[in-house]
Amino acid sequence: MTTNTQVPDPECARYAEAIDVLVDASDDTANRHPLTTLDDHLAGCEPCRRLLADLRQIKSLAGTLEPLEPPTHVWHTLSRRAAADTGARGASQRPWWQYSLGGAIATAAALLLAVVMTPERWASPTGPTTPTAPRDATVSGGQDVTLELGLVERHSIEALDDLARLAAADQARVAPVTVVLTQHLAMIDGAIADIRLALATEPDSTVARSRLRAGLQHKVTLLQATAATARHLSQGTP
Amino acid sequence: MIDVGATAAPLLTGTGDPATTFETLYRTHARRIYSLAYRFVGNSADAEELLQEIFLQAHRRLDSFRQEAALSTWLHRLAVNRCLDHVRSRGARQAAHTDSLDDQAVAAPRARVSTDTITRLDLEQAVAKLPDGYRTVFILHDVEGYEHREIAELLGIAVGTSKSQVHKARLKLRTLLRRT
Repeated sequence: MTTNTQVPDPECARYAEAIDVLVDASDDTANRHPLTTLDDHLAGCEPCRRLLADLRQIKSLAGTLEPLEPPTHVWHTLSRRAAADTGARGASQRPWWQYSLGGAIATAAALLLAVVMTPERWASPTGPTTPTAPRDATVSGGQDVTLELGLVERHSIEALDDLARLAAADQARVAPVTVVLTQHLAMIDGAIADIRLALATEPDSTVARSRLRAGLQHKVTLLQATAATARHLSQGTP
Repeated sequence: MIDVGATAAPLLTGTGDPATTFETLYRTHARRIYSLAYRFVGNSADAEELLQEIFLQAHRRLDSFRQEAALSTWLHRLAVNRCLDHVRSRGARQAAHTDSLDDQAVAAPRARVSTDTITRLDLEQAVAKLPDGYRTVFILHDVEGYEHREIAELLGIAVGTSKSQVHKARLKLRTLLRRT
């Protein structure tokens, strides 16, 4: 590159601001500097013309700078920090599911029962039996989480299939049950997903494993309770 | 600016797995935010740390995100503010440096630059050499496309000061590029 170390001409210095306005004026010609003598100066001053050209090129190039790719390790570290941060917020800002998953399930179940259990059903001699979780869904402490999820998914699918059949058979009575069920299953599934995320970060966390087991069991129990209730409603249809 | 896009949908509706949503948010915006941070701080180590802090902050505040602004705008503003905090925390030493450069910058009209050969890499390197004050306004205005009034608001300065700083930053860049 060539350099010129001459002392700046005071006349050129007068136009410095006007030249800068001209650099930005390329985007909006209405902003052209009102210094009408600028054009005359530029016509006779090569350094200022060069300055204008250079500043325009710098600005133009700046607007086309390529995005830079962050190193891949940043995401790995960040995801761990985010998971840890969620845990650290714990007591003060824990989401509802971390406080009382069981309580939420109980609320869901209560709402469910409130919808489906009409007074005549209470009086029915053949009321719904208290459902229990299947034996193989009650997992032991050391059982692999993947296996637990597989068991729950199998029972969930069976229960949902059962509900679908019942709903198809008696849509008017069973449909409200499935609506309530769907809403609360979404909450439970969200909670389970969060716990799984926590477990992915801290696989040895006994608290997280315990909560996951509880969540999964509650899910199966709720599904079965719903299916039993729906079956009862369907059978009780005159 | 990137539009709200698909990444905002799960946030706004509350659907989707939170971890997946957060990862999608990161994958969509990380390059732009990292570029911003890198250009602000001038080195990869600080830029990586800033990138993480910005996304952690976003992670904590996602609940408070409302659709008044596009998600990208919200995130970008969060990033700019965090970068500015970082630059400010470096202390006042750069202010003195900036002042001492003013005379050189004014002298620049006589500098002879063969800008035909300037590449983006040259400019990146020159931007990294700018004093914090100049670099900040230059990145916000010429790279990120902020208006002077927005910069003035962000930095708590007058609009005229923003214009003046951008002008001096360009002149300084011209001088730096001349030397490369």
